Amino acid sequence: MSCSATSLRRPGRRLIASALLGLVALTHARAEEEPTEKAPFIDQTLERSAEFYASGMKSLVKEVVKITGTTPDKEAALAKEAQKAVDDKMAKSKRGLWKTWKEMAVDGQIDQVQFWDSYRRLPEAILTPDKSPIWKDALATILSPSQLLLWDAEANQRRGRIEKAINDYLVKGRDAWKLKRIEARKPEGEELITEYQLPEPAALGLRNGIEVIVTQSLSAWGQGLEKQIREYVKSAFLGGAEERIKQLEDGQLNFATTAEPAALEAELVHWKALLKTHLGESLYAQWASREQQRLDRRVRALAMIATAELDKKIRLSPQQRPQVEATLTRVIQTSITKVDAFLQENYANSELLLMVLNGVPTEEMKTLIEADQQVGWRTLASRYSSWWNQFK
Amino acid sequence: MNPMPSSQPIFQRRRTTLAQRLGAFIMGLALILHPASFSLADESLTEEERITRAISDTLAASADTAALNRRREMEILMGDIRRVTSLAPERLRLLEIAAKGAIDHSLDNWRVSQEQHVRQQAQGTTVVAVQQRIANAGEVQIGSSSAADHPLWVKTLTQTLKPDEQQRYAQAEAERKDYRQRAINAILMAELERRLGLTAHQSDKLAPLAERTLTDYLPDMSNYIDRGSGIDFRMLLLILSGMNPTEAQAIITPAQWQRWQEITNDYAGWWQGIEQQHRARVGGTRK
Repeated sequence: MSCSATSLRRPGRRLIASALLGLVALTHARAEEEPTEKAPFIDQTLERSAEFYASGMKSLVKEVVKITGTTPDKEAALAKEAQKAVDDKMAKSKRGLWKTWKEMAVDGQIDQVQFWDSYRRLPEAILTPDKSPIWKDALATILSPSQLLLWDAEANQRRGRIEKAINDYLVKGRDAWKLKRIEARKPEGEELITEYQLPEPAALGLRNGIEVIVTQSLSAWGQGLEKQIREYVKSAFLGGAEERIKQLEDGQLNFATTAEPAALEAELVHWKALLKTHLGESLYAQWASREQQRLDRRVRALAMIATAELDKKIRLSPQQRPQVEATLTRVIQTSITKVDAFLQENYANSELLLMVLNGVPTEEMKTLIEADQQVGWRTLASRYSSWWNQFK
Repeated sequence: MNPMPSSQPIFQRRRTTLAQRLGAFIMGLALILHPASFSLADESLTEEERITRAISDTLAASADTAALNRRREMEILMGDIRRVTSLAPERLRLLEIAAKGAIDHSLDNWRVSQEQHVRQQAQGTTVVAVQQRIANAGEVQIGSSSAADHPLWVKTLTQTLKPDEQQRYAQAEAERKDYRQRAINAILMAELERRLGLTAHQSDKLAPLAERTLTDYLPDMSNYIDRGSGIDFRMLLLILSGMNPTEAQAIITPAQWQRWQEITNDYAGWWQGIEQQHRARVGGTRK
């Protein structure tokens, strides 16, 4: 930092300036304790959302004018109300965001994935300006009855198109999943038929039952996916409506995972029931016991590899390792469908498996490892929390 | 941003504004008294000088980050030594001092490489373009070495730990390695069972073969499967390529063999490299 000759000759002034700078630092530090200072991402998000909704509502007003042929003065009135609806939405969003922050922040830190998961459930987050009572009232009071009829017809047509796009997307995905599961179950069934030398009626029942049980589990398929799609198109009345719906119609979107753990879980229940029917009690008990052993081995293997991975990062002592392994075994046991869904992804690796650290309560973690290791544990858990939250 | 409506929670506005207003007032006063203290973006600098400053700032920041990362690694390492050996605080202090020196010296070559890298990125453009380019320059790996491998650390550690402590530490290290090996064996079998749908009998027959092959090949495979980002589960399944095909195919069905090929198809080419490395290491022929 340069310093002029004049200022060097004035040490008194420099001293005062330094003292004042120190005071600035103090007051600034105080300001940084405030929630807005600690979570700039909230203000950035609000700013982006305000712009997005304002621009979307402007295009919506233009479309209303185009469809209804209303007058310029009514267009101006609609634009004013549209902006009010945006302001109202943003005010509510801001309240919701800070409410979530206050509930979830610990020592000024927050897991952003969990934060957004929690916020998105609030009515403030779900509301969009085009669904606001302010905008609905504006349409009803500013447009003439005949103009309102015209707009309602257009809106209904648009809603219908969105619903059809969502439905088609889900049907296509559901069909693909069904086929994949049938193909996966078929060889398992054949192996059991051979191994247990099932008589023809039982073998036939098992073979024919596969498609039935997969179909039965379809009701659990796609719930998370539908939520994600609806979130994506919830602003389809606003800017980018055409583009978003078109992407959906053309199947160009990839919504996170396609593993569907809830459906897999339901399918497993039906599969067990099918086997019980066609293997009979004794053979079924034999199969179930073997499967349980296999599952136990599998859970232990996953817990071991997660422990080894954690060990590489925070260096567990020989005494800590078995305790950590036992804890992770318990976590994996209770969330095996989630872990299996993750493992079906091509990118799955042992480090990402450390997402399971998120299943260990903080207090329990503190009993397992020492303070210097806890920093590393928390960093890893936070780094992979998005995977843990994704596979529900 | 739209004006904040009056219904906003007041805790955001009132407290922040008071603090910031006071800060702004004092800042203004300080600026009048001693303007040179605030010449962070000195207008009198030439374009070249500004570029030099931007490069220096970037290098200083990346060196800080590199040192911080190494410090964290060494803290974990020292914590491990303390837990395993129950080292007294005064001897631990010696290690802390050695760690600081090792961190600093381990960055010597890296600093040279990083500076060359950043300067290459920064050549022949304006200060704005330079700032943008060097902001994305990243960190070079050339010249980078772990502080834990630095002679200063290694020597101090050897001198500080008594023979029995060294033995305990070596034993803990061996246990860690052994545990990881067992974990890899276990996950290999679990994944083979899941991905190929092995029956219990198949699993029992395949396990010893798989474990033996993994032990044989792991030194050659570890660069491929056990990288910085962890073990790639699909790539781990390549181990079937190392088994005697006749033995393996006598255990699994043609459909399972085909399924395995589909799963590992993306990595199949890598096996040649692993096999070559294996032959070079053990000097034998494929089983």
